[in-house]
Amino acid sequence: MSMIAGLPLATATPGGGDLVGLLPEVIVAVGFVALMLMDLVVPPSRRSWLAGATAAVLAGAFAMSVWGWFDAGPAGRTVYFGAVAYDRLSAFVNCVVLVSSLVTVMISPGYLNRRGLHHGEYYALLLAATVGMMLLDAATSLMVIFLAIELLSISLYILSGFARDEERSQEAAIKYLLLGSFASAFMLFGMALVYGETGHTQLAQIALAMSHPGPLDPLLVGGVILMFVGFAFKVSAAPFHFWTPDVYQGAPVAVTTFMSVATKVAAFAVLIRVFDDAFASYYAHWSSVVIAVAIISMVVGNLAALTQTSVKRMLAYSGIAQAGYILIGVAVGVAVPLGVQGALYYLAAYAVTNIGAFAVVTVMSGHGEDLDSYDHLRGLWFRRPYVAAALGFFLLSLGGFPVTAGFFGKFLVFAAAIAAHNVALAIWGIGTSAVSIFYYLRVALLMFQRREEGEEQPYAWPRTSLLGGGAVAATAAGTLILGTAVPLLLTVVQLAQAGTLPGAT
Amino acid sequence: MLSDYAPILVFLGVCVLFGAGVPLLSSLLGPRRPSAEKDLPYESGIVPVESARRRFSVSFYVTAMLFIVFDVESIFLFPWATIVRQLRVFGVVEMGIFILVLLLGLVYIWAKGALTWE
Amino acid sequence: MGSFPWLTVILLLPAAGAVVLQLIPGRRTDAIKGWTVAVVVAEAVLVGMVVFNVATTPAQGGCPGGPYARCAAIGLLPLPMHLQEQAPWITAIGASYHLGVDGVSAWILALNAGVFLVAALVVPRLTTERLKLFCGLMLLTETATTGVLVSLDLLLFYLFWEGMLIPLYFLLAFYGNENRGRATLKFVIYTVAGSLLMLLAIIYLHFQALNQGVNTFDLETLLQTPLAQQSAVPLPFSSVPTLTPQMWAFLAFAVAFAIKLPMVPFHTWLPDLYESAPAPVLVFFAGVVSKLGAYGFIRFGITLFSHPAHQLQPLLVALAVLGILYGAVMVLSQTDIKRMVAYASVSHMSFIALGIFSLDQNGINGALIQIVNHGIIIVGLFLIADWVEARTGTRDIREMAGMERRTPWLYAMFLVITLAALGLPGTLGFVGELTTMLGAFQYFWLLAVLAGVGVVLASWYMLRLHQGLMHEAPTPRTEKVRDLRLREGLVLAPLAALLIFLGVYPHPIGAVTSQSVPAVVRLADAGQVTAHDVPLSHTSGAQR
Repeated sequence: MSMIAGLPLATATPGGGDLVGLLPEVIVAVGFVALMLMDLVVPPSRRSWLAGATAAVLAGAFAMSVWGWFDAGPAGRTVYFGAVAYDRLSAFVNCVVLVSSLVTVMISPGYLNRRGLHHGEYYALLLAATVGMMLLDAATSLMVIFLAIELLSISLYILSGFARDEERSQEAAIKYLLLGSFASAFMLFGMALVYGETGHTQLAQIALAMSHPGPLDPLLVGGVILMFVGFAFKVSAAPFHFWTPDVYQGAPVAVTTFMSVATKVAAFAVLIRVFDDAFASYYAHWSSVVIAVAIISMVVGNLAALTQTSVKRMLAYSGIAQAGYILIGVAVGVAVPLGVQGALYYLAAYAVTNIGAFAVVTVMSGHGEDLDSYDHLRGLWFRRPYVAAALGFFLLSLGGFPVTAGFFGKFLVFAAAIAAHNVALAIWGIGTSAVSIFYYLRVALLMFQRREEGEEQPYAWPRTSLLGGGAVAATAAGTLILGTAVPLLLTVVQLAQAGTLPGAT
Repeated sequence: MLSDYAPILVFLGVCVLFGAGVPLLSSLLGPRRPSAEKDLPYESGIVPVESARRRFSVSFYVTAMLFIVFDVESIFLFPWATIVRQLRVFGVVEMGIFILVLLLGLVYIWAKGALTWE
Repeated sequence: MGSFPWLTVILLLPAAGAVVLQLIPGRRTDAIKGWTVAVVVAEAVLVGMVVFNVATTPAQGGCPGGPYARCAAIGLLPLPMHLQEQAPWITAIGASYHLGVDGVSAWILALNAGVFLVAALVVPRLTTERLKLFCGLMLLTETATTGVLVSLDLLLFYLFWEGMLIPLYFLLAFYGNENRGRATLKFVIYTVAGSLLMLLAIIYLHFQALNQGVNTFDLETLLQTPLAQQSAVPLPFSSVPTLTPQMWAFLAFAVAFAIKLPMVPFHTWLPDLYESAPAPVLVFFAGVVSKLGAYGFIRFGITLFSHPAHQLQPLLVALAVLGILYGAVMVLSQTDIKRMVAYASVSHMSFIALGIFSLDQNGINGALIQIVNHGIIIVGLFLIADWVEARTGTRDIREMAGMERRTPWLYAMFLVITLAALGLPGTLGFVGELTTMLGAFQYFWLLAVLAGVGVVLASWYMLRLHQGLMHEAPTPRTEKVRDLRLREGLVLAPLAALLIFLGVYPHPIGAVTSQSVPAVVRLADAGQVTAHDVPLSHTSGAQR
């Protein structure tokens, strides 16, 4: 057969309707280039202006995404010849990614100044990564998925090595680059197999080709599994997680804040789009792999987090475990719609909670080194009560206590597992959650421990700036709201789930 | 479906055979008379003056990378040129944006001093 | 009481009080304490009105003697409620905001309001910021415990049940003695593990109902929804069918409640925690938080799962009796007065469990009376233990003796509480223990005998504690000990008076509980009648 039979030749050109669908991404992309140039003219002492400009760009894109939610309508559509989706799923995930970026920008200037890392490229790279994530969550073509992943990854490789003078940061960048490239290779190989066997790069066409009855195609199954391996790297699910603790610990913590949340959110969005929708006909072949990875992530992440003595590493392993919980929703998402809804709810809850926890670490870091060791947190309550209380609240939310966002995320994915008659999966989740309480609370308890009389204070916590404190307060409020005003977000994720992959059927 | 790939498999096999076979043959058949001069690093036939393991200015790398970036981007102009008539105005605008972004990148590295040689 | 949402008011009042508290400047400690006391007094008054209303008005709904399917057909609810509020909450998954009070919860609500009032009165001297936080967390805990007692929606109930741990965790982690870190962690992990299992069972029940076309978490609706019969499922790696899914679900609920109660063998967190927690926290922790486990068994455990409860009755009852005897023996081997009281609490709580698991009207009535009785006693005992420790600087009973001369008031109050704790006729303890044992006797006479042994042991250890502190020649530590201050006396005296008053005239409690216990027992009995063919209680009505 002809190898280019599936490629649509450009007989028509894209119009304004296509551009509307991509408007938030375009705003951020233009902002990226503009900020790069602004860095040339803004004097070094006024770099916080760049932060302001970045925030303005992100806010604009956020407003456009919200507008896009309503404009795209319940069904949504694809733009640019089916390459990019303009629907509620992408609008929703865009909003989560943009809020994560915005919070990162709020805590960055103070942190970067204290660490002596305040360069203008930081903001440009942050925006570049954000564009990549936004494209990723909207991508409905294998090409766009790969491009978006590379765009966000390359930006993050540079950002994780942003503290150039530090060995740890260099190590993080190199490790992330090498292992990330590996993951990209896996994913690309998987995509090549899927393309080779279906003859299409667009998800809707692939879904159609897959749903044809016929003998099982082993190469197609292989391609699907390899693509999952690539995504699993990006969401740092075990056993593809080995880069996570080192990179999270080595990268400047403001970058970790962004990376740990936004990357995961965007990668999960595309995972849902590709697996729960496009590859739905092959559910029987990939579900056991996803379930296995989910269980391994929950077990490995939680058990490894138990023995940590570094806050960043603990949060890294906790992030691996959280990826496992979200994967529960993905794994049963084809069988029950609640699975995808639960996963989306969990994503939003995880985003606001985890970014809050890392924001506290960022706000309390500085003057030469990041706040990292557990010992650095001891007695925080007595000096910075509000920040300590907020961190305690975030840790409770990560542990899944009610009235915090984390509870309903866990509740919905476990409910989905039970609805899909996979009680064992829910029990794995429950058991590992109980384990996780131990390390979350251990850290929280440390903040309430007084230092011995005359014991030297090993770490001087910086004063909280208005912006940094505002970011922490806002995320804490968000954690509380998502834990109490449940119907609101639940309706949103139901609507987002209902319109996945327009044109697939 | 799978049988379509058979030529590729044959091609791969030939590649491996050739790549592994030629060095093997030459090591089996070629004469070997080592001497001190022959073990020296090759530098266009001249006797080397110092160790090859020295540090090069980072500017070489930067220049090389910048060259590759702009060189690779220009390749995109070729496929574009073949269908520019079909794309009409859209194609021109699109490529204009592409070139503009590249240009802004050039301005950026220029202003950052990446092109000045110290 | 009209259509005014009284239950919402008593639910939110403490939390609202905690929010307003944050507006008071931290250094004005008197204002902070005053406001806290004002909030809990207002709450107590409102709860008093609610309890009075329950005692004086007939219940709405209820199913006087008949199969439940028939009652449901004419719009009656299986559990009669005196006050109810219902509003949609998360409609997508069928969770509703459903509150209700009946004879089972009314007196526990009153106990709840009472112990928080006592706790607010004995808040220790703390530095300014810490005091504000302490009072705020205490008020939040009160909202959570109230929420547990009035929620009739399983998801809402779970929210309060688990959410309660957040303020409790901070209270226990931040205040208290140097051992608190370990003890707190142990308690929280125990409780969370149990609660998460319960969450799983709640979700399971929801989907069981959903399979029948009912999208709900509501207790009343779940009680009316006939659940599909399910065969036993084998354990992993085996092919032998072991337990039905309903049995697993009941076990999940039972473990969660048994940990909170606590029943042997889930009690090991309790002595450490009671030893390390500060007095006001202990007051409401031992006074009401642990009682919520017993309440959960009555409200949810034996009604939703009557059949599994009947099947497991021998095991549960055996554990309860074991707990009574084990706790009593442990008290006798302790020398630390707080640990003595803690193990006495294990023994007494097992008594309550025995009453519940007799699945008999007398037993459950007795358990409810014992809940109130033990709530008052444990508050008094812990306060006395704390004040004695503050005066003598030790908790070791071997270093104390002969305090009676110098502390007549303390002696008198302690005596009343001691006598109530060992169940002397004329105190509330006697009424509770007698009724409980009547229930146990009807199930199996030997149990009543064994429980009686527990009572004898209780007399032994309570008198040993009392005499150890009060009689014989004073030790160096107790020579100069001073009597109760006026405000301490004013806290203890009403507790002692209540124990005697309700002991002589228990009618106010009995009149309230007897309105609702029959309905609970009927639901529980359904599992026994058709124990062989129907998995869950309420299907029995539909089939007959």
